[in-house]
Amino acid sequence: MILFCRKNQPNRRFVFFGENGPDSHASTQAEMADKPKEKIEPKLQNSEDITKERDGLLARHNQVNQRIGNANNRYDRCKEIAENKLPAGSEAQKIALDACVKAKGKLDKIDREFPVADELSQDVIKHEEVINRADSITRKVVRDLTDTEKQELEAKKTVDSLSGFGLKTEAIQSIFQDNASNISDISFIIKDLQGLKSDGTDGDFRKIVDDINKIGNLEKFNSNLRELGNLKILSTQQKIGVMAMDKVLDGSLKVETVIKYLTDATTDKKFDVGFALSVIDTIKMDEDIGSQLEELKFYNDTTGSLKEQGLDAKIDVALMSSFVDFVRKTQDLAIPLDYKVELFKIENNPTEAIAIYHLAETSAVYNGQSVIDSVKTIKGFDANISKDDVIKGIMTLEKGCRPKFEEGLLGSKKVESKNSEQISDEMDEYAKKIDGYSDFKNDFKKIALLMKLYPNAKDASNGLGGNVEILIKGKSESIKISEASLFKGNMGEALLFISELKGKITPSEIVQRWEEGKRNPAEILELSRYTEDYKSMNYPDLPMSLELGRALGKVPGLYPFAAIVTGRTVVDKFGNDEFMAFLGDPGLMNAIKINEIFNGKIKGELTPDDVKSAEKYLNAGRALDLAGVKPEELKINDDKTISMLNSKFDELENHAKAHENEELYYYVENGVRKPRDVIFLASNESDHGDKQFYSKDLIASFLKQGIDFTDTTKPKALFATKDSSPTPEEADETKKDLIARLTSATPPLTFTFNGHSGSDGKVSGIYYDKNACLSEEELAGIIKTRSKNAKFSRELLAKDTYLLSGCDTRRVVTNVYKLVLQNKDIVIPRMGGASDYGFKVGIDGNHAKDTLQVNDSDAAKIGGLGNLNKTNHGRSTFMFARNKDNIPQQVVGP
Amino acid sequence: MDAQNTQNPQKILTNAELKAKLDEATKDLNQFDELANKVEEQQEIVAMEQQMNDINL
Repeated sequence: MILFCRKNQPNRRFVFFGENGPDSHASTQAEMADKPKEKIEPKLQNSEDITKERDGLLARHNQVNQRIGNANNRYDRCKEIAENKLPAGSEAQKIALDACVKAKGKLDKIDREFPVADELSQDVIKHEEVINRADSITRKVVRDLTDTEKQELEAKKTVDSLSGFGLKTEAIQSIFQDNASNISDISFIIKDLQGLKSDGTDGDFRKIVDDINKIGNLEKFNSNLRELGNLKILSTQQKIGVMAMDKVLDGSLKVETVIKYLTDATTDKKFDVGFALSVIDTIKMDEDIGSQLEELKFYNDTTGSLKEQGLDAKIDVALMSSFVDFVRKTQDLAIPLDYKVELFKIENNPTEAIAIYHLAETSAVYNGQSVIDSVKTIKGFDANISKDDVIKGIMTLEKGCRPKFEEGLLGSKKVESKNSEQISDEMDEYAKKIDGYSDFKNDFKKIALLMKLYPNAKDASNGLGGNVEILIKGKSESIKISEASLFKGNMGEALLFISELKGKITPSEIVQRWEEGKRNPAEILELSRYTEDYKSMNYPDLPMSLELGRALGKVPGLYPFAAIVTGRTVVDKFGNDEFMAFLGDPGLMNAIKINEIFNGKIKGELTPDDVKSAEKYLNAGRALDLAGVKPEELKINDDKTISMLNSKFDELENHAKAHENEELYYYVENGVRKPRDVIFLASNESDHGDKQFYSKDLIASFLKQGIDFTDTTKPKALFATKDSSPTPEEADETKKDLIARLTSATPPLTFTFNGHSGSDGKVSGIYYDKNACLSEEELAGIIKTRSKNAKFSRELLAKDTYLLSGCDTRRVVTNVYKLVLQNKDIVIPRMGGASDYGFKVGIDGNHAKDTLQVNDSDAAKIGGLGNLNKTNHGRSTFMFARNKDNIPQQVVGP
Repeated sequence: MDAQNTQNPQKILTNAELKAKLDEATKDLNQFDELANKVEEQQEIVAMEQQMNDINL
């Protein structure tokens, strides 16, 4: 046997067998001649070489170590210079302090990552030899396999698709580059590498391969892995898989490795579904490991408090899990997977419990780490069970993820079967109730339920912003109270991990600056660069998101950013498109401009010119908040500027105040309160529950306002198509009727909408039925037509109010305004909505009723919309009304 | 093997891994040096500015 090293891969060692080498029975000379020639260069890599190389590296380690010591000393000196030797407040000091912060970051990173000498003293030789051995056998088998007729498939593609699973990937890839094989061949190799013992012989190996041949399960395993890859769940797993399985190569390390990755709650290598699958299969493949794990009492007892069980950590994992989609897709793909549910009773609440779904093969109590897939609460729990106990029930989910109770444990006691039945029924019923029309998709609701666990949590089913803010609050609280928290002391590391892994800017720096009040909205734009990272690294980004979200959430008016950053992960609903859509909000750009003008003047003074140049941006009231500008902090010394600014701020404030008491469904003319013409449009959809967008409750609440939608002969009319699948002609007819009524309604008109909105990729607007949309252009057209109607009073037209309860309504409204502002003669109406730029909202009856403000007459005012945001954290209800210059200016909104 | 030990299984660094860590640390140290230079540079600049001021006076 000769060992070679490829020229372009000096660290890779491959073993080739010559014709006269051992076990060369598989190839004939002729076959060998047909094979592509390996470009190789002999280089012996034996124990001696390894040791020699190691000695050199250890010497270098020593040098670097000394350099680190020097650097630490130098840092102390630099810090002294920055803090005490430079003129306080000078530009030089600012630069020096900034450099110090960054320099400290480097030292901290080195401190974390640089191996201490102790770690290097172990016997590396055996380890390297094991890998050598694995490569050797791999090489041998591959050569044999290439002699068969199976080798016609796309080997490279196949290898690539598997390359994350802890194969000696580079080795196999290199070998396969010019050859072909099929997936089951590769499976053999994987399997053999994983099962390889350091004292294995070629004969052993052949036997293993033969054995594997009989295991049909491998094909399924590989199929699962491929599908996982398709579902983009694999990226995290691949990273972990490489690290884990490379260790698995060495049988002596296998158990420790598996345990490490299952239990290490502080590592950034978080557990996930895909990885769990591979670990599970690893365990399955090796019965010894399974039994050792059992011996180690790896599966925790179920006694103890929720905290002791690491429930916090579980919930953290659950929140960010994209498992729901995974389950759906695997079911669609008919990939057989079993799931179980564990029940956890909520302390001090005898009638509710939390159910955590997870893969059947794993336990939800892996030392606080697990595959947590979905979380639900169950009401109507058996009150006889002591509230101090934690109940663990094992359920098996039937297809469709409806749990069927099998057995339950209460500590060491069996739960009575009648309780089991009860739990099953209740859970099933409740699952339908809380998920209802959308099965597992209603993440908002789930988060709201989860938040009940946290002291500061409030039920926020009204939109993402609220949930996220609550999550942030709940989370920060849980960090304080929970020893088991995933994020304890780990945030900074995670931040560094992300930035350094991708070689991009450090979000921690952004966070720090924001926390220090040095806020630059432009930096938010940089965050968009992380969205791609988010997609590929589910886990490490959660701490980062929360950290960032927490920092941003501290700033009034900035919670949308917090939401976007955290929501991206928490709900896994925000793709790059949504994120970028939000960044397109003109309000944000206004904020950036204001920030440039105002905060850019920190050193100097603001002048009247500055105020003048900022005025048009300031007119968007919201932008001031976003910019993080606090008027009282601005450095102004001359009276004219102060006067101008005060006047501007007063104007903004007064504009909002002037609209506070304006009613949504009535108006006052000559001192008389009169009803408006009200038109209500609702999405007609029965898929998600009977008439959810114009439920009887909602109609009844309108009636309380004196708005009778049951009489369709009146201009005040409820619009919705008759069924959810109108013909194009029917939809068109409805639209014509709708537009006719909207254009002819006597001003001031109130047009309310409840349903789906946003863009389907082609048309952006409000959707009153499937594929039936009143577009932004059409909405603008209605406003234009009304403005041109000579019979209409311009004063009353200015009170026209459009209130849209749906997703992404801020964008819809902004776009409509853009269209109507092109013509200066058009009277700008009031327009508002229920969601932020690019955001989705939760959809349920309460939300609609809240936003449409029809519950009681006191609330049905524009000021009442503002109160919604105050009482409901993170609500993004907003309203614009024209200012004295006929420009829409925000009167309500975050 | 007890449960405690399994929490932090010792990692054997291969030569390649050790080399990568040394390379990374060296890179970080180089970046650190640049930053430290920047700090010291500020001190020099301030000193120079002071000298200039003194001359003007």
